[in-house]
Amino acid sequence: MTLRMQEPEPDRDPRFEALLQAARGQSAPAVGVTFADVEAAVARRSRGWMLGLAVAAGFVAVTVWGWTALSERTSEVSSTATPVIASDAAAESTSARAVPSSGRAATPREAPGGEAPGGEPVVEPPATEETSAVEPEPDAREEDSPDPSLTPAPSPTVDATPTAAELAAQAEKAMLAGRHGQAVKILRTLVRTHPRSAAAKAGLIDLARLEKRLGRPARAQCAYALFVRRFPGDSRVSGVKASLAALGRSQPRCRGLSPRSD
Amino acid sequence: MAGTLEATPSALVAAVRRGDTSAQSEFFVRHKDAVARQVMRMTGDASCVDDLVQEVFVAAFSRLDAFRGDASIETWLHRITINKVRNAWDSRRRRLAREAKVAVPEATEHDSPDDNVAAGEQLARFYAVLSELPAKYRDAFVCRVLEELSLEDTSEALGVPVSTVSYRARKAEALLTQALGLEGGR
Repeated sequence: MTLRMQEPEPDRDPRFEALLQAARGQSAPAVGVTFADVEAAVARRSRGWMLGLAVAAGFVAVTVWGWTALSERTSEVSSTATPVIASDAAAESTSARAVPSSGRAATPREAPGGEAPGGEPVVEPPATEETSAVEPEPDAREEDSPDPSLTPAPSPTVDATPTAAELAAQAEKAMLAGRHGQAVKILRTLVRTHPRSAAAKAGLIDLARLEKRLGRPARAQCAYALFVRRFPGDSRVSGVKASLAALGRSQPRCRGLSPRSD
Repeated sequence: MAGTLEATPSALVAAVRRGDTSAQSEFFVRHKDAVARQVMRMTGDASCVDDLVQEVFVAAFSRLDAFRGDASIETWLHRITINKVRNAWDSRRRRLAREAKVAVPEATEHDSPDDNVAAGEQLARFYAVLSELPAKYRDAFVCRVLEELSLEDTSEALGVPVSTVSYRARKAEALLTQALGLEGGR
């Protein structure tokens, strides 16, 4: 006999109970994701794992080689020097010479930027070389299209673009590391390839703010304007409109995410 | 796999584990709507359904070896969905922190549920408050109250004792009703 723990039926406010019923009874929208999308994402993820393993294996090999080379040199020096202190000094100086550039490369290095204390996003660092780097011009397809960001992404294949969630995660990582130029590129890809996804919706706001920080207010305006156009019913629209207005009274004519003058 | 359309759930899972693509496709078709409904109940946000459904199945197909068969495949998918929604909530929280400087959510403009706001807006407000709860309370409430899982299943899904599940779900409910101005029904 299995005993199942029971709780007394809660005495709820009828209005709260009605909310719960409404929440439970919501119908989901038709799923737009296909098995091909999932299959492509699984394949991409396993390739990522393989690549990661290969890099890790290479890293270990280089480290082992570096240590082996270092200990060989150290033992050579130790055998020729009599006083202990002199031997240590020799070993130290030898190791300084012996640690080759490969050995140095084998030392783990912190990722540039790193995560901000407390995991808070770093959103406003001074412009660095990377963040101020000019983003490559949009490709020809984007230029020719009347509104590239409204053009649906090509049908997915095994090598299709990463999922919206993957791109959003990449963009967030880049933002946290202060790599704003890279984050902009990823977010533009996200908005173009998954235009109606929740990640793209949030991504448009991030994109606008990053463009503004990078000194490209016209591009920021285009991103905000696209948000308003695509998601007019979103609760954030009034705030976005205010941000758009704060960027200037004259609104550039936009082609998707880019001002027409770009 | 021949005849996947007629395959029993266990035969289908076995074929999926062998890497049979047509079985995986059939598995996806059979379960995607249930996962979508679960995501919708948990988040109340139709726009994130596609993203999360994809994430759930990517995780499921990548980790199918970890499925031991102790629970049903539906329960297993349910747990993956819970985890993915939790991740999405965490990500949303970080995003809101970034967006706070840009947009003030209109939800804060509603004073109380007595304002004759539309039912959809009340529900949006409910989910907005829910997403702001501490994760441990929110997760227990979602599993136990919204998803109506048993105490044992919730305990297993969240990895905490049943007594903790019970306490957290009740605490979450108290915080929710307080934030929504719906206290007094008890």
